[in-house]
Amino acid sequence: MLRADVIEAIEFPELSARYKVYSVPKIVINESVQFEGAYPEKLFVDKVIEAVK
Amino acid sequence: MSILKDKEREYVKKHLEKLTNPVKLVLFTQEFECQFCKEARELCEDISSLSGMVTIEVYDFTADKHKVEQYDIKRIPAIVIEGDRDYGIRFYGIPTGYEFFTIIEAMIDVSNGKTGLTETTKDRVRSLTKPVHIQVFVTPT
Repeated sequence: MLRADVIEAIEFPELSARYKVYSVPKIVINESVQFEGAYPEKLFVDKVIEAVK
Repeated sequence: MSILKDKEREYVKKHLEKLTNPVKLVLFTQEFECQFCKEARELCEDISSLSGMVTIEVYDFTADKHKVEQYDIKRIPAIVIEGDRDYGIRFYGIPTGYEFFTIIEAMIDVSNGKTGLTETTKDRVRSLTKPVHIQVFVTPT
């Protein structure tokens, strides 16, 4: 049910451009939710759940 | 050739002592390796040489279509961290700098079959009924 990719932004410039990666860490969940920065665990899970609503 | 410096090798070796079950690094590269592919392979070889619990499997992104599909690999270099099953963890590109520690931590979690997540988080994640794809973009800082 869950897939997690760590992507080296500089090595994949096309992908980084597609998701408008201007600062890291940048997190994209199911195309629908995006955010920047290191979120605390609870908030991160909030975002995961928001993505599948 | 070794990618890791002596000090890093020591660090990795010490941390890999925490592995309790076998871990497989499944690497996707290509016959004529790009610079990053070559470095990713050397890094995997370095890591596996430091622990009897770590093995590597190397596949060709073009030739090994079956494996590319099985692991749903989108680009190379790609490294799948697999334990008793595929937990869905992939690293695209070379995990250097801070990300290097992330890959070691991921290996430890996969090997031991546990994470530092709270019970609340685990329950919430278990209750997911639709597929979730998390992509974390990082840079080698």
